[in-house]
Amino acid sequence: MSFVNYHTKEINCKIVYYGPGLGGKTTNIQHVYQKVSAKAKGQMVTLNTENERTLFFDFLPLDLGQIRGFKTRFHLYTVPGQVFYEASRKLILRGVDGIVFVADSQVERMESNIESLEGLKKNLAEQGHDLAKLPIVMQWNKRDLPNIASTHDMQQKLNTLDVPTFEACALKGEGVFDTLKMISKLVLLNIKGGLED
Amino acid sequence: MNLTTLVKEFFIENEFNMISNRVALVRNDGTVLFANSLNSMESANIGALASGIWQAAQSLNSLVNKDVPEKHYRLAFDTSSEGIYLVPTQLNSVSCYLCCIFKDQINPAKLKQNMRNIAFLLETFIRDESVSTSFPSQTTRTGFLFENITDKEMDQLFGFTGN
Repeated sequence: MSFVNYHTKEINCKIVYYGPGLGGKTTNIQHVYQKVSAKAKGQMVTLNTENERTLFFDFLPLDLGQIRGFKTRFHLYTVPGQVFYEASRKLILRGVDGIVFVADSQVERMESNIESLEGLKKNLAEQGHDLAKLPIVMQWNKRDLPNIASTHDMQQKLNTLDVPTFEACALKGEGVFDTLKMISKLVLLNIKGGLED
Repeated sequence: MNLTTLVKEFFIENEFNMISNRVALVRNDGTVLFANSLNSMESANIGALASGIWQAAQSLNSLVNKDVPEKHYRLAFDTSSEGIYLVPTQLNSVSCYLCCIFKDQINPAKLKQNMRNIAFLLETFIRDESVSTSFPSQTTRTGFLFENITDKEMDQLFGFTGN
């Protein structure tokens, strides 16, 4: 749930990067961390396993400046992608305002993408959220690799809600900010509570 | 007066902000409502981690202990002089955690007792003030905060990234 302080004019929103294991969720926010100026970001928190797989979550607080007088802060989280961390994923989705679904474009990962998306729907439903009503953006990551599914195929199999999609190569930073900018816009537009009481 | 302003006043006026090296009041989704750290980014990290460990501990506990109200629990990770301590508190139906990180404490038990007292006092204070908190005011307001946002505004928001 977004948090708006009308007196101090501050907005806090929570964006979660979701998707199958090794899909590039952490790489996305690592790129954001590297590119954003020091004054706009906090320390990136990573809770990893010994082999640098996400164990619990990654977290990056990001101050994006002002929009119409409101200071905006986005809290970027990633979930652990590995199948057996379902309990952790449920916890991290609490209070979510927007989702970036990072799909792995490699053909052999399509089943994992579908499985992860189904898990997302189920986990959101358990918390009373409907994926169709929540701001969501799809990112087709790893477009630079051989043996990737066509965007048409990915669209058909994963984007049944017809949400905005972006091709990306997060390792090179391509598509990372386009994705973040779009989800940020959708989240801001979805904040309930107008200025009139 | 809104909740965050009131909470801040509560801590400052009673000097509860000085009971430990770091004190923070964190909403259950990780949003920080108050922190005595001057660095707001550090506070955000405390919020995310405090919320995360509480919820993880809660899930772990629920494997064995069912249906025990959250308010009966505390969470500690400490030695005899330093560590962290979390106490749950309910502010106008919003679940929060009062968190402190401490070091060089001669009497951590006393600090923990103070934390529990503060959580109770804060709950009572907010209830008695019957304030229009940020949460109800946000939910009772109609419409959306932004009816539209232009691409130019978004570009300005992300301008500092150089992208």
